[in-house]
Amino acid sequence: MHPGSRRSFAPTRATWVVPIAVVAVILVGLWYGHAPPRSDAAYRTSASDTAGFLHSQLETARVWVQERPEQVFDSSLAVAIEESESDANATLKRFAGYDPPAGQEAIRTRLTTLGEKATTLLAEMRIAVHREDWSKLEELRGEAEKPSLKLEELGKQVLPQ
Amino acid sequence: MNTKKLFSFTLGTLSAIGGFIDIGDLVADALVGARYGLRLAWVTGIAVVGIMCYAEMSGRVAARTERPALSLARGRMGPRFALVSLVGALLVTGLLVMAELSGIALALQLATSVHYLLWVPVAALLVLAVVKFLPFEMMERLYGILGLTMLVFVWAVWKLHPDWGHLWQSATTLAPTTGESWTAYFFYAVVIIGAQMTPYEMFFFSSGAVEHRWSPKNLDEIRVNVMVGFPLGGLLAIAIQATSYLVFFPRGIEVEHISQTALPVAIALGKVGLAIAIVGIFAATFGATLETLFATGYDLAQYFGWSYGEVQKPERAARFTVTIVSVLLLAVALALTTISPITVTVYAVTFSAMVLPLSFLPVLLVANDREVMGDLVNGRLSNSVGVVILALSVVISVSVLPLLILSKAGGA
Repeated sequence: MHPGSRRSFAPTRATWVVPIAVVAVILVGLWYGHAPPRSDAAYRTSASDTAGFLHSQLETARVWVQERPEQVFDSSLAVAIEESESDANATLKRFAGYDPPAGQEAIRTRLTTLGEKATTLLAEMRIAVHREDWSKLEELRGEAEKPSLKLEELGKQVLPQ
Repeated sequence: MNTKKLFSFTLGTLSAIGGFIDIGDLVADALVGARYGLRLAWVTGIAVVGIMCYAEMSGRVAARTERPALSLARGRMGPRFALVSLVGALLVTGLLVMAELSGIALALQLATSVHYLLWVPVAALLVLAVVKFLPFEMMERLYGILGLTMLVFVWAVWKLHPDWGHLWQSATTLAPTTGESWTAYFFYAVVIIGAQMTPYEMFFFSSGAVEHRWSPKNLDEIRVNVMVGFPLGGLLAIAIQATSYLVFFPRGIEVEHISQTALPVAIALGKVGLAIAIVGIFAATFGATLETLFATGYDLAQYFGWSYGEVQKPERAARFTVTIVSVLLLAVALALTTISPITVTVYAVTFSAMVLPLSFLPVLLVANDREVMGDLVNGRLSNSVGVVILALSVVISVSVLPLLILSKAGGA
């Protein structure tokens, strides 16, 4: 190396730009993905997704129960019901934590009411499985049909056009 | 061909079929099937062609040089590239170790109803025991053969009596289903690519070739393993998509758990089918845990020039062994934080898609070097397919982050 040319090993501006840009992109991504809905359209989309997930979780439990006893093990059934209940509780809690924009309170009320019905039914299914109360479980499966359908319909109705 | 060679070929191919599926496939294929039917089956086709091409190249490089392809390539592309490639591969593969280990625990939970977190340390001990006491080849064959139980998904498709014309129509429609966005559709295409073209498969195949002490005379075996095993593995992946489609799509069910992946098999085949599916999930995730674990060990050892390998006694490859044990312990710790293994899997395969070019380019360069490869240098077919797949991987790599954000990780 020429004695007159001292090579500097201090980071240049270009070296800092890339990591800062990457962090900025990640932060923007996190905000975009996880920020609560503020507009009517965003809130309605979130409500539609929530209704869809709750319907999916309730329907999954119903399908498992329907296949008992010939097609599924009771141990697997118990696991599946617990998973559905846990997911439904988390889904509903996440939506209930959002403040509805003005004029969207009715959607919140409808969805949380139906959602609470779904989570209650799933909790009762879980208890019935643990108690091996199979007739009760079958009864709950039948009871869950209507809320499941209502959630599916609600999900389609509230979706912004 | 004598009986011993035929047996070796058959075992190798069966292992490749059974070893293709891991938790990434179990999650991604079931999720995609429930949401899009077979409208992303074409992506599986591309992924299978891609991994066949590069796994064959990696195996051929290892057979000629008796060194793993990536180790050679990193030496030639300089320390900065090697470091970036290493960090990328380690992050992805490390996350996958945790996801696969959780997959073992989830399979055990499904069979016993004991919470999967209690099974995680047990699964880790089982993995350690297998690594310590079973020879490398027996380990590979065992989980590969057991993984063939995943063929129960193919049987389940048949027993669900699908409308084959409808399935074909779904498979040939290259568009999202009604109400789904193109952004989410392409995001899941990337997820499938990441799940089925994972870099660790190449690292493991290449380093495994060195462990087996393969030479050019094993080329036929390498090619049969790749050309027969991987496409049949791809067929398994499509079968998972199909079963999920047939059972969940009409009901509007989204797949969020491994238990849902197995449910269509139970509906089609009853308790016997469910039991076989659980064994298959266990075997697939167990095998993948071993592969990802060894891949991280190989990667570090080859970068730093440590001696490595399962065929060596642990005391002769001490740092390699310590790496494997440390990664396993970290995986257990991460799993016990209760972070969802499904979420980790989706992010891990997404980032796996992002780092694909870093794994493919070095292999392609080495396989094209006539000085290194001699008469086993890439021919026109390998180069044509290899370049197309590499170009595609660059496009995928660049688009992963925007798709992840814009689709809200598939939620949009």
